[in-house]
Amino acid sequence: MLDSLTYGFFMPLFLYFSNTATPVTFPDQNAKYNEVFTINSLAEYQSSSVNSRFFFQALSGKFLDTDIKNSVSNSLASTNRIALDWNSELTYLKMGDSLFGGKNWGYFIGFKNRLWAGSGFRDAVFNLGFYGNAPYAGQSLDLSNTWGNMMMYQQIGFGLVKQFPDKKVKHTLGGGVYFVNGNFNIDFTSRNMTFYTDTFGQYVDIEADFRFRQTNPDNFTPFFPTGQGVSFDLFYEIRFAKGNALFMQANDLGFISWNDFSRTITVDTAVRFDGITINDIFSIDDATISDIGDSLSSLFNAKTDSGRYMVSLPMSFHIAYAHPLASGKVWLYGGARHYLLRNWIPQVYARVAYYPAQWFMLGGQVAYGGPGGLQVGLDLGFNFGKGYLLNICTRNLEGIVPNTMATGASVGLRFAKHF
Amino acid sequence: MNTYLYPLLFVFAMLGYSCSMNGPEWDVDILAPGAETTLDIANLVGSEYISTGQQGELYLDFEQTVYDFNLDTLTNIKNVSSGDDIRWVLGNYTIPAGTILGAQVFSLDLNLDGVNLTAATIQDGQLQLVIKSLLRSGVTFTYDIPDATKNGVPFTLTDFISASNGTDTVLYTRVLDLSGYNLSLTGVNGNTYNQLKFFITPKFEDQVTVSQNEFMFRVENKIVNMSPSYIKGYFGQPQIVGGQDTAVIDFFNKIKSGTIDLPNLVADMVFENYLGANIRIFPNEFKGLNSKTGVMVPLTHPVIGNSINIDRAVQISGFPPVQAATQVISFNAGNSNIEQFAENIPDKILFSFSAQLNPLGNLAANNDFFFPRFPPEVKVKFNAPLKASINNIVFEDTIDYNLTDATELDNFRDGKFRIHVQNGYPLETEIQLVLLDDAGNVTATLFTNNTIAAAPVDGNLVVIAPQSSVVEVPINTDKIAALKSAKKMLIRARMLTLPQTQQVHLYAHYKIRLKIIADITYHINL
Repeated sequence: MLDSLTYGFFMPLFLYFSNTATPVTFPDQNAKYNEVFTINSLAEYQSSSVNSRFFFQALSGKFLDTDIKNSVSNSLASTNRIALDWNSELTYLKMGDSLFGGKNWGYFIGFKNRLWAGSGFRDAVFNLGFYGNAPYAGQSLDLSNTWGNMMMYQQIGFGLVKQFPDKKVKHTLGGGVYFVNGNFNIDFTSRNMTFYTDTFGQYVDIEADFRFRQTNPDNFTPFFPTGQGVSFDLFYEIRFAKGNALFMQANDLGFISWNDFSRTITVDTAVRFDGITINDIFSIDDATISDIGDSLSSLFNAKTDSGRYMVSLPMSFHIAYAHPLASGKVWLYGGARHYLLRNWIPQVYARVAYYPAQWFMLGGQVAYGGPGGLQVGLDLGFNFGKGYLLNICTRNLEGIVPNTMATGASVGLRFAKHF
Repeated sequence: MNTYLYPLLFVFAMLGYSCSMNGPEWDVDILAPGAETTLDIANLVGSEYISTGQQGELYLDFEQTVYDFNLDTLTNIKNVSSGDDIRWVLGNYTIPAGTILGAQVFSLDLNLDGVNLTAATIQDGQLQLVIKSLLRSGVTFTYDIPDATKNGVPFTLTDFISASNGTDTVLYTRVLDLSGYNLSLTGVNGNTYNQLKFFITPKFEDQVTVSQNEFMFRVENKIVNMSPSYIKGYFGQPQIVGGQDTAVIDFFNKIKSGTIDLPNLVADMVFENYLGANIRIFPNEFKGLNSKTGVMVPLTHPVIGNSINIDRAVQISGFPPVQAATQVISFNAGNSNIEQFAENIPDKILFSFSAQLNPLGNLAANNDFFFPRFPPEVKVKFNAPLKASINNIVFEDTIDYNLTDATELDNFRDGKFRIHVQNGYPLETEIQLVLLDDAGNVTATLFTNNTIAAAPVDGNLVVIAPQSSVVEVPINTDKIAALKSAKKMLIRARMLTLPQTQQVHLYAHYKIRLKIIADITYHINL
């Protein structure tokens, strides 16, 4: 089994060019193939403090009562993180071709869809947003250094893979380039922000220094071409004679330039709002109520610019080591991932995959970091023979049933056909 | 839900979220200023009723027209008509084609009762011209009214009547619009009145033989719905009898109960004569009724029950085109019971006036004039210092408002609006806002803790500093619904000057500052 694994030409350790850092399953059974078609989707949310019960309640549009808000508020740190990442990928990889006058080349064609949202926020942001300002009258709330970003985009791309096999190690290098079609984006960054409510509500003092960018708010449509960009994936894998391997990958090195219908609002001001002035209280109408909101907006003296802006994609880096045991019936993995995002702390993980039968894999993973904390995962794999594979996984077994302890939830589904 | 369904829920929820963007809901507690406003006595009673003295002291300055004299009899132009036959007065004769007869002159008597008009300007109205012809020739005619001019151009019409067969009458009818025309009504010779003259000049288009005294055609003129904007002449000496009439005093109508002590009250009854004729007015009676208490106080003054002669107005250029002659009768504590009359807070005044025009005859030699838009009228003016002792006056006013489309209110759940009041008046006030439906039924009351404390005064009864109070409007979803659905709001205020029994002067710098603080639960639905 080890021989075929070690010297099998094709079988990668991790899915090449995937944003999901997903190990390939059933490597021994499928090493004989040199083509694979994969449908892979992984949706996950991770947070340092927002528990899965709150998250599911919010996501399903339900009412967030005081208890559930308290369950989050009580676990808030001074700064907090949350991210939502939903990757869906449709890829084809073929190895063993001869290109450019040389052997051991492969190529890759892929289509990806990604919805990504992330935020780093102060505890006061959550409390102000979900409890209101009344409980904090007389206190100055620090909302500084809060940011949030949400974007949806598609990538269609092409990649090349080159292997350098010898008797002891096999080096594999790959790179891909993508055209990026951006659909929508919201980007908020605050620097210094404070919010003070007078004890008796006579006035509200707001110190605001923030930037808000947004693509055309009238067209938040999935797949609509609102922005374009380019991105790159790179990886390097080294496979040793005993089957152990080291894998390094960088994904989504790129950007999107959003179109001219976008706008950027910048505010740098300190204002006191003490109500709108009504000249004739005996002629109140709908407009009077609307004027309160308009008056508050105008106080900020916001500078609004229309036009293009550019954002970088959520770039990620992944390094992993894999080691087979018991003639490949057990695989151990260790790795680290990092996103160049302010709400990420480097994530480390350890993983084990056990193959009790040729048709079944049972895997588990423990991870810590990223936008969340401790995560415990479960991975089930099914080999239907003739190259057909199915994997179902979660990286947050602790959050799969919504509860107030877990601060992450995820579910992944992968189908592969090897040829 | 089965636990194994949660991962699927995750996926489907994300799919659903991305497609429908239906977001979560939660409640937040808002404590924030909403609005602020400044009120003064002018806002409450109407700035048209308030004037300011040199020291900033305020006066109640009330003026209302209580009676317009009805002079329809002067301007009632009936739909009168006239008809004249045109016959060939010479012997038998063959009239060559193209012959023009001399102008035939007619006159129409307006037949006005006792009014001799020499001129008029027509606001609206027509003249119906009917010509009945038995002439065996087509006739082109010119119809002129030289005494009807518009922008200096006399009225003229040229038209054609087809030939008759000698047996069947050819009928020509035309309605002529005289709106805006100035008419001279002095007749053919310019020395009479109520007469409008016409000319018709026929031209024979065909050769025709006529015999002596043969009927050729008939001309009929008829006034149709004519009303003047100006008349001139001699209006006679008609008696204008006015029955008992009632005027509603809007301001006092808003005061529902309580008493008020108004010192140094001066009131004027002003007779304004916009009529270009002398007029003698008989103010027969003038009584004030407080319909809440049922108390009626007749106003006493030497002029009540007697007569007043008022000069004629003067016609001027510009607008208005008339300068009224004014006669002012003053009422004060020395010559009348005006204070008792006003302190009764009459919301209705019952009165009767009669009048006679030109009591001394045709002094102006047929130069009386009248613009119906400006009838003689009687006004009542009060001017009293707002220095009063107010004892539990209850003021009520209903205002229209519309918050139907204020969707922002839909998300209000419960809590209260706190209204911080800085009262600069030495008036203790209990205020209540009552919401009314279309039928006037009460749907909700807004205030609790609704007493606004009076500002303290110094030894001269001048306010030292505004007094702070807080009144509250508790709200819940039912009250918000009532606030949105109601279209009217009744403002009820009970006021009491402090110190009691002392007459406190109000000044222009006295203000009430209101600041509305929202302390509410607000529902957010993304």
